[in-house]
Amino acid sequence: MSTPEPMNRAEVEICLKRAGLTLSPEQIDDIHRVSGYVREYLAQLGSDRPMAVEPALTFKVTP
Amino acid sequence: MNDATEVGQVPTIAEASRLIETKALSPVELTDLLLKRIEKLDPKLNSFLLVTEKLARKAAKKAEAEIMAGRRRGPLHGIPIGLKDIYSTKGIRTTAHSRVLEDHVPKEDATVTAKLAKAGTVLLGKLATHEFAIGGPSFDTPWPPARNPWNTDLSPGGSSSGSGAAIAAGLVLGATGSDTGGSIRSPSAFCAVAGMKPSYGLVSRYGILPLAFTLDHAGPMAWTVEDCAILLQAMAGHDKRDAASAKVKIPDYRAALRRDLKGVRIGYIRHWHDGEYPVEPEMKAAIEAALDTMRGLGAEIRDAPMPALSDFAPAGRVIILSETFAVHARTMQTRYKDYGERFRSNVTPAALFSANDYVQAMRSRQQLIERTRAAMAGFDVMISAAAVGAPTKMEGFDRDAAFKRPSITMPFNLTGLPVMTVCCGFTASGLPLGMQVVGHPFGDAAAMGVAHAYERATSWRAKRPAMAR
Repeated sequence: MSTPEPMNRAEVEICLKRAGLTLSPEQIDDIHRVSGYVREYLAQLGSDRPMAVEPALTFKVTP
Repeated sequence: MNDATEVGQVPTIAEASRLIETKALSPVELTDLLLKRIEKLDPKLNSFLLVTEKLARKAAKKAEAEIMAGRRRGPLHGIPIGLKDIYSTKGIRTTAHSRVLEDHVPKEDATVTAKLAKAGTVLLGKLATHEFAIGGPSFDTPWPPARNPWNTDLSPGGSSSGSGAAIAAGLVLGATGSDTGGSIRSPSAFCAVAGMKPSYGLVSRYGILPLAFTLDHAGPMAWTVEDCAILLQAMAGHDKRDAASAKVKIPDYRAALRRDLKGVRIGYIRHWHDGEYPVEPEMKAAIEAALDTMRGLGAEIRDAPMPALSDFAPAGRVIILSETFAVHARTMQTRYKDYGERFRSNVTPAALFSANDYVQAMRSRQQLIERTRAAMAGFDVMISAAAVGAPTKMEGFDRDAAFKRPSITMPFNLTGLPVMTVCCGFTASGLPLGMQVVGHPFGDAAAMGVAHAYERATSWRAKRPAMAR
């Protein structure tokens, strides 16, 4: 499996800044490089669900 | 380094407990034996971050005095154990194997720490973990990573790496682990020990450093399923201080252990082994041999139509990283370099997720829970490999590995199902292979019952790493 095409680097930098992280250029490179995987995961996750589908916000802990 | 030897002088918890009960074994002698083994063997393994020798000797003497006075508390009284170093211990350093908490000394015990102490266990020390229970072996944390006693060039799995290594090497009789995506099951498989990831909500997480709130499970690890049952008995139960703690009746786990599998309906998750992401051939062969053994014990086996591994992966990845980042964001903002490279590399991509992504992952999770429930209908337990294959090398860090292949363990964190992991054989080169036995929600006893019957029918428990002699 080859490394997927990363996200736009500026977009990655904005996300990291919004998260309050101040990273070195090398550290940003690391995250930018794997950002393609993140995008792929999010595409697989999708959002096309019936409107009534609830999140598993609170786990049903009683059987 | 790969060869195994017959079990030496280290007893199981059940054996030691019987000997202590009949006063044929002294907790002080047993503690002394294990402390000597730690001194001799652990410099090669790094499974302990802290050995609490003085406290252990004191606890062992107290246990012995109580037992001699006829005040035996139960099967764990006088049994030496270790705690993964994310379990808070009052007055004893608890570091998560991280520079971030290098000098952290909790002011109170985790609920499980207190329960195991009340049961009379003897704490030998705090055990290595992957940093904050995520990532892999790290060489840039204040302590070196634990190594696999079957071959010290190999990883013991993780994140409960020290627990797996210490049990397999006979340095402790039992230990605690935690499992957010496979962190009890991976070291159990890689070290050939038994590990129980209980149902979500069965064991309190209060006082255990969190990784991802909705995926975190605390559980026991030991040499045998029976030993895990003994430990789980002491660890399980409702705790109002844990928001996800379940109010359920706690069964007698040891009494539920089975000798045969007559009438047990087992679902084999075949497509996780030879589908899109095949396991190693020796792993597949070991699982199929295990199914033959279980069939011979009376089980009925059919294929289980679980969702594909790749269906679980996106939700698992988004949830674990989002929740972990939420726990660590403030510290990462100010002390980024104090985390090891593997932690940073694993967790920082969470900054790329949005609120919508997390909620969509939780909605996907609910659908997966429902699909899993439907797939499991008609089965008492399901079976799959606990790892892709044999233990992997310590050195070398494939930054992309976690993204490339869906986890074979994460589905049961997302669904909260109980999973008993047992050794199911060895490769031709003598390395351990592990199997997951999956139960219904709060069907922990059933999963352990099946795993115990299988374990008793095999000879895998007669082998220990050569260094454990």
